[in-house]
Amino acid sequence: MLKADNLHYVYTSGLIKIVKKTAVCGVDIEFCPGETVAIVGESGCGKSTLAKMLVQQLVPVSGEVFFNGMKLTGMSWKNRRKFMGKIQLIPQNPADVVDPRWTVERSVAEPFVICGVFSKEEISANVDALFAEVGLSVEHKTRYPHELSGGELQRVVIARALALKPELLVCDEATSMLDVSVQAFIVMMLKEIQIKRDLSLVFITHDLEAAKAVSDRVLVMYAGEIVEEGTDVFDRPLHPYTRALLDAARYMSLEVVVPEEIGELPDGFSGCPYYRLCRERTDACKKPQKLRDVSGRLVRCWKSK
Amino acid sequence: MSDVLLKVSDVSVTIPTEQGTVHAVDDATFSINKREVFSLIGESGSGKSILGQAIMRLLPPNAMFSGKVELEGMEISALSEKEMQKVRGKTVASIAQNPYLAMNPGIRVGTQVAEPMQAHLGISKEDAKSRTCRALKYFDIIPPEVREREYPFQYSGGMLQRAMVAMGTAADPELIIADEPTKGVDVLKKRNIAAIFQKVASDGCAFLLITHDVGFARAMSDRIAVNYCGQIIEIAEKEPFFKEPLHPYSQALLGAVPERGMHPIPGPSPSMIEVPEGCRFHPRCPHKTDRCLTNPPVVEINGRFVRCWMYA
Repeated sequence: MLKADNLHYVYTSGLIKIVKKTAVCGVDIEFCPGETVAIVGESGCGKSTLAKMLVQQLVPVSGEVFFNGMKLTGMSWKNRRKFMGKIQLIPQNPADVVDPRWTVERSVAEPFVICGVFSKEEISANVDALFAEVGLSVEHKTRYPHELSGGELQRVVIARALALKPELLVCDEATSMLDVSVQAFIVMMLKEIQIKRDLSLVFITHDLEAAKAVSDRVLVMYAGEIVEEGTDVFDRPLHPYTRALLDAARYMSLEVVVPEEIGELPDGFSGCPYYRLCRERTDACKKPQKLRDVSGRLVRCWKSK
Repeated sequence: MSDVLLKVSDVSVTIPTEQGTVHAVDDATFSINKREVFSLIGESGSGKSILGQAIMRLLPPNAMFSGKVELEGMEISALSEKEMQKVRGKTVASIAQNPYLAMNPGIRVGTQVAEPMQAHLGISKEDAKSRTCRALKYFDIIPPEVREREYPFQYSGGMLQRAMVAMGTAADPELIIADEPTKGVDVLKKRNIAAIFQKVASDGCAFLLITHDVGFARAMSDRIAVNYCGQIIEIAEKEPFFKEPLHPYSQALLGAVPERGMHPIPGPSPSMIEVPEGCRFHPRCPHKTDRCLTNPPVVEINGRFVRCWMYA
C-alpha cells in the first residue's frame, strides 16, 4: 500500500560553518493493508524523521514514496493534497498539534472544513461520530485543550486523524508520555479501530515491550538504517545491536555495556554504523553492510546465519 | 529497630485552587530503611510528586501540610526554614526529572556540583574543587578538570544527568529523592540511569524513587508503594508484589503493562478535587461491594499493607 524506496534525509544547520547530519540513509519500507508494524530504536536514530517523510511533512533528500502505486514525492502540492488525508500522523505530544485557543470540537472539525465539501450539519454529525468512536463524551466537545488530560487529548488527536478515513496511521511515540493504564487504553483502542476500519498502523516507539505486544512485524533502526526486520525479532534477535537493545531493556544485565553517546565515525567510513560499539566486530565489518535475507529475516550484518 | 531512616506519618497535603481544594496527598504513612530503595509508583496526577516535595519541604507556598516527617529521628516537618536548609542537600537530596531544567544554564557545572559540599561540609574552595573532580570522574565524566569548567549546554543529556547525580550525592546524603528519572527516555538511557542509581545505592544511600515506570521500579527497588488518587493503597516487598499484587488497583495497573497483555483499566481517572467517597478506586473496581462506600482500613498481611476491604 505505502512503499518507500531508498529514503535519505540530511539535516543541515549553521550559517558560516555548515554542519550536515544524516538522519535517515537508504531506508526501504513497504506496508501492507491491515498490518501493524513497529519501528523501534533509540532516540536520535531517525525514527521520527522517517515518519515525517512517510506522511509527507518532510521532503526526502533522495528516494521515493509511493501510495497505492502513485508516486507522492515530486508530485505537485495540489495533487498530493488529495492523498494527505489517507496517511495520518499521530504525534508524541498531542498538545503540540491542537490550537490551544480552539475548542477541541473545532479542532476535530477542521479537516472537514478544509475539505470544503461538507455542510454544517454533516460536519457536526461526523464530529459526533468521531468523538463516540474514540470514547469521548459530548461534554468533552466544548472544552479547550488545557482542560483535558493527556490521554483525553491524545484521543482528540486520534479522532481528528481518523476524520478523512485514512488508510495508514503513523503513531510517532504516541503513547510514550502516557501512564501504563492510559497507554494500554489508547493502544487497545487503536487496535479496535484498526480492525473496524481496516487500517494499517505504524507504531514508532522506544518501548520494546509495547512494540512486541502490538505489532505483526518489527523494524529495528540504528543510525538511520534499518538493521533488522522480521516478525519474530524479539524472540530471536540476530543483529548485535538488537541483542544489546534487548539486554538493555532487561535492566539487570548490567555487565552488558552499551555506551549511550553514539560518537562520530571517521569521515568516509562506509562500513557498519554499529562498528564502533559492536563487541563482535572484525575487519570485515568495515565494508558496507547490506540487508541480507536470513531465513525470512532481513539483517544488516554479514555474520548472522 | 533503629535502621529506619525516613518515617512519614499521616501526611496530608491539600492545595486550594480556583476550581476547589485538591486533595493531593491523603494520610500517607510509610517508612524507608537505611540503604533501601523504595519506589512510589502510580499514574500522573496521583500526587506522587507532591509527596516527594512534602518530604523535602519544597511544596508550593499555598499548599496546606499536616502530618509528621521524621528523618533519622528528627522531625523535619517541624523545623524552621533555616534549619531545613541544613538538612536539604546534606541528609536528603533530590534529583529532578529534567537535568536541563534543573541546572542553572549560566553557572559552570563544577561550581554547581561543588555547591552542596561548600554549603554543608564547610570545606575550602580548593578542597571542594578537587572533590568535585573526583565525583565527576566517579560518574565517568572525563576529563573532569576540563568538564567541570564547562556549562550545562556543553554536556549531552546523559552526562548532565550523571552530573546531577554527582551534585545530589556530593554531600553524602542518606536519602535521595528522584522524581520521575526515566520519563520519556529510551531504553538505553534508562539502563544507564538504572546503572548509576545502582552504583550510588551500593554505596549505602537510600532512594525514594517516584516513577510511573513499573518496569524501572521493578528493576531497581526493594519495596514498592502504590499511589492512587492521593492515597497509598499498597506497600509491599518487590518480589511478592509482582508475583501477587493484592489491591485491585495494583492488579489492574500491572495488567496494563505491555508484558502482561496491556489490559486498560476501565473507567476514567477520578478527580482530585471531588474524590470518590469511601475507597477511591471503587468506581472502577471489579470487586466492589457496598462496604467500599466507607473508608477502607489499612490491613497488614505478612508485612504488606493494603488499603482494601477485601482483606479486612
